[in-house]
Amino acid sequence: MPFISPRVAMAGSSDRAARLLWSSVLLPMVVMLVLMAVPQRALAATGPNASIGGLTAKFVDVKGVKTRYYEAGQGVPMVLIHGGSTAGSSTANVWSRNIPGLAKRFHVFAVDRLGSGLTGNPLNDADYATPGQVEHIYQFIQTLKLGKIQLVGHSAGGAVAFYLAVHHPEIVTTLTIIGMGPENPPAADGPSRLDLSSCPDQNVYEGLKCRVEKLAWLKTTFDAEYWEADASMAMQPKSKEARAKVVALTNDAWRANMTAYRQKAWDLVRNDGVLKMPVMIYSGKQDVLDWGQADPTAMLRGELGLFDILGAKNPKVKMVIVNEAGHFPYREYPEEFNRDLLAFIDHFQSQAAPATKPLAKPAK
Amino acid sequence: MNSMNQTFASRASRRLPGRMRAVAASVVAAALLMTSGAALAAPVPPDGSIAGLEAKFVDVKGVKTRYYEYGQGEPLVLIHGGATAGANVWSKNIQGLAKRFHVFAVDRLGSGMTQAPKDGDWSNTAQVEHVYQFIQLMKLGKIHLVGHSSGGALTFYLAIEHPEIIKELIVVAHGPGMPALGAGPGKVQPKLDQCPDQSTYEGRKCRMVALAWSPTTFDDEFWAADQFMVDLPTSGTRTRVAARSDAAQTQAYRQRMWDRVKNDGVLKMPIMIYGGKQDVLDWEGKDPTAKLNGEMGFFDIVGAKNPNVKMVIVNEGGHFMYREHPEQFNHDVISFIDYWKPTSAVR
Repeated sequence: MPFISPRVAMAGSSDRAARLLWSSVLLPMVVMLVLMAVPQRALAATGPNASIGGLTAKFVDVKGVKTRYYEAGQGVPMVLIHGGSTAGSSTANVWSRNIPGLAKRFHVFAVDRLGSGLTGNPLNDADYATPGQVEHIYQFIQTLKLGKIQLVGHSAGGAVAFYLAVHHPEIVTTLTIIGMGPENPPAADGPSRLDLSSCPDQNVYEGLKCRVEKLAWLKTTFDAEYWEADASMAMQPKSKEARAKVVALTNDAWRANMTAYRQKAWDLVRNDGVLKMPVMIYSGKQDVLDWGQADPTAMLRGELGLFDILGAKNPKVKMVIVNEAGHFPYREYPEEFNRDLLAFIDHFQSQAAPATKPLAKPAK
Repeated sequence: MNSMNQTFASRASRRLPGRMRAVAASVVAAALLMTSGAALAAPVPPDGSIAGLEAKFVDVKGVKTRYYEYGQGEPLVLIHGGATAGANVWSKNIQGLAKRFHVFAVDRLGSGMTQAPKDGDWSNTAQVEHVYQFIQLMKLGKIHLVGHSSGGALTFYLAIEHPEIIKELIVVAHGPGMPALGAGPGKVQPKLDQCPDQSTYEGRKCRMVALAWSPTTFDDEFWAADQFMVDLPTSGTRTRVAARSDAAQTQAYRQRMWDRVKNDGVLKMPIMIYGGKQDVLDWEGKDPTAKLNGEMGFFDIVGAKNPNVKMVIVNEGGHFMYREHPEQFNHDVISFIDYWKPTSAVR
C-alpha cells in the first residue's frame, strides 16, 4: 500500500558498493554538514517523541500496540491518516503544518499507522498487510471513543481511509483522499518536472527519503526539523524490523491477497454503493507518484479513475486539483488545503439542514 | 419542444418491457406536452426574466444591454455561455451569490435581450469589448469574474486583455486544450449527434437538454422565457450562427491568446477551473471543449506560468453543473474568492 512500490527490486552489486560508500562515508559527512548548517533554532524545535512543528505527540495502547498520535483542538473529531509504507519515510509528522489550523475548528487526531513512526509493529505478521492497517485505525478510533469522524487520508493512508470508510461507513461523516488514485483510465497527466527515476531502492531509508523529497513540489515542503525527526523514527530498531518484514513478506501470494482485498472494496463501492458520505479527492497537478511500473496511483489519471469508482453510485463526490503541487499539496499550501477541507465539510453540513430564505430584492 | 419531450419519453420508457414502450412513450409525451403547454401559456415578463428575478437595461456604447443586478459589496460578474438563453442560465445562482457580492449577470452581445451588434461584428474582440464597456459603464472597478462555456472563453480573453480589472477568474465547463485524456464514463451518454443542426433554434435547444445532467436542470419557465427572447425581432441568435463560420479567424485569435498566457504569463490572478464530471460537450465533434480532457488541457495552458490555479470537478454534473448543484457551486465560488482575499492568501 505504499507510496513506495511493493515490487522490491534486487539491488545489483555495484549498487550495493555505492550504497555502502554512501551509508558508511558520505552519508555521515552529509549529515554532519547539514547539522552544522542548520540553525540551532530549527533543531531545538524538535520535541520529545519525534514531535515537530511545536506539537507534542502522545501515546495510547491500541489492542496491545503502543500507538503515537497528535491531538489538538476540540469539537467534532477529525482523523488524519499519513501515507508511506510501513516504517517508510512518512508518519503523522507530515500533517505538522495542518494540525494547528484544522484544530481551530475540529478535534484533530493525527496517528502513526501500524509499524510507522513511533507506533509499534503488528503483533501478527499478517497485520503488516492493509486489512491490519485498517483495523488498527478503526481500533484507535474506538479506543479514544471518537464516534463519528471526519476522515482524511494521504497516499497509502488515503487507501487506508478509503477501506475504513468502505468497511465502517457508519463512523465516517466525510471522506477526503489526497494523492491516491488506484485506477488506470487512459488519461494523460500534463507536464511535471518531478522525476523519481534517480532514487535508490525503497527498501533502504535513503530510497524512501529520496522519493518523498522528489515527490514534493517545493524545496520547502520538508525542512531540516522534519528530516531530523523522520530519521530518528526510521532508525529505531522496530522500524528496521518492520522494513525487513515487509520485504520478506512481499511475495506473489501477498500481492494477490492485496489485489483481492482492493477489488472487493471497489466492488462494494461501485456495485453496492456502500459509500454514501460526501467524498473529496484532492490532488497536486504535478504529482507523479506511481505504484510499481504500470499503476499510476497518484497521477491525475489514477485519481480520475478513483473518481469513477467513488462516483459511480454517490453524487456527493468532488475533486480538487491544485497547480504547482506535487504529492504533498497539504504541506505545500497548508492554508489553502485547510480552507478547502473546511469549505467541503461546511458545505455538506449546511446541506444536511437546508434553510429556506426569502428572495432578495434587486439592488438599488 | 419536440426533441426534449422525445428525450424524456425515451428515457422513461427504457425501464419498461419492450411491448409497453410504445404506449408508455406516447402517454409520457402527451403528459409532457400538456405540462409544457400550460407553462408556455404563462406570460413571460417583458424583460424575459425568470425565477422571480427582475432584469434591467442599460445602453452600452449604443447597444441596449439586459442584465440582472442583485446584492451589494464587491462586484461579481457572470458571463453566460453560447447557447440561447442569455443571463437566465444563472437564475439558480444569483440570489445565493448576492448574499455576499454585488452580482451582475449580463446578456452578451446579441444574446438574450441584448441587441445584436449594429455593425455585424460578432468577433471575439467585439464580444470582449462589449463586456468590458459594460463593466466600465457600471463603474465596477476590480471584479470577480465568472464565465461559463464559450462565456468562459470570453472571460479568459477579457482577463488577458484587461488583467488590471480582474481579481479572480473562474472558468466553468470550458477547456479548449486537446491532450490525450479520457473523460471517464458518463451516466447518460447524450446523443448530441442526433440533435438537429445548430443553425436552428431546435438544434441549439436540443444540445442544451442533452448536455444537462438532469431533466430538471432547465424547467418550463426557463424555456418559455428562452423562446420569448429568441422570437424577438432584435434577437441575434440566428445571425450569430452565420458569424460562427469564420473559424479560421476565431482559431487564430485563440492561439494568440494561448501563446500570451503560456509563453508570456500574462495571467497572474488566481484562477479556478470548474468542471462537471460527466460533461460531454464537444465543438463540432472534434474539439473536446468541455470534456474533462479539454479542461485538463486548459489547466495546462493557464497553469504553465501561474501557480495560483486550481480545478474543481463535481460528480453528477453535466455542462450546467452550477444549475444542477447551485448551492455547492456558490459555496465553492465564495470559498475560492475568500481564500484569495489579500489578508488570507499565502502563496
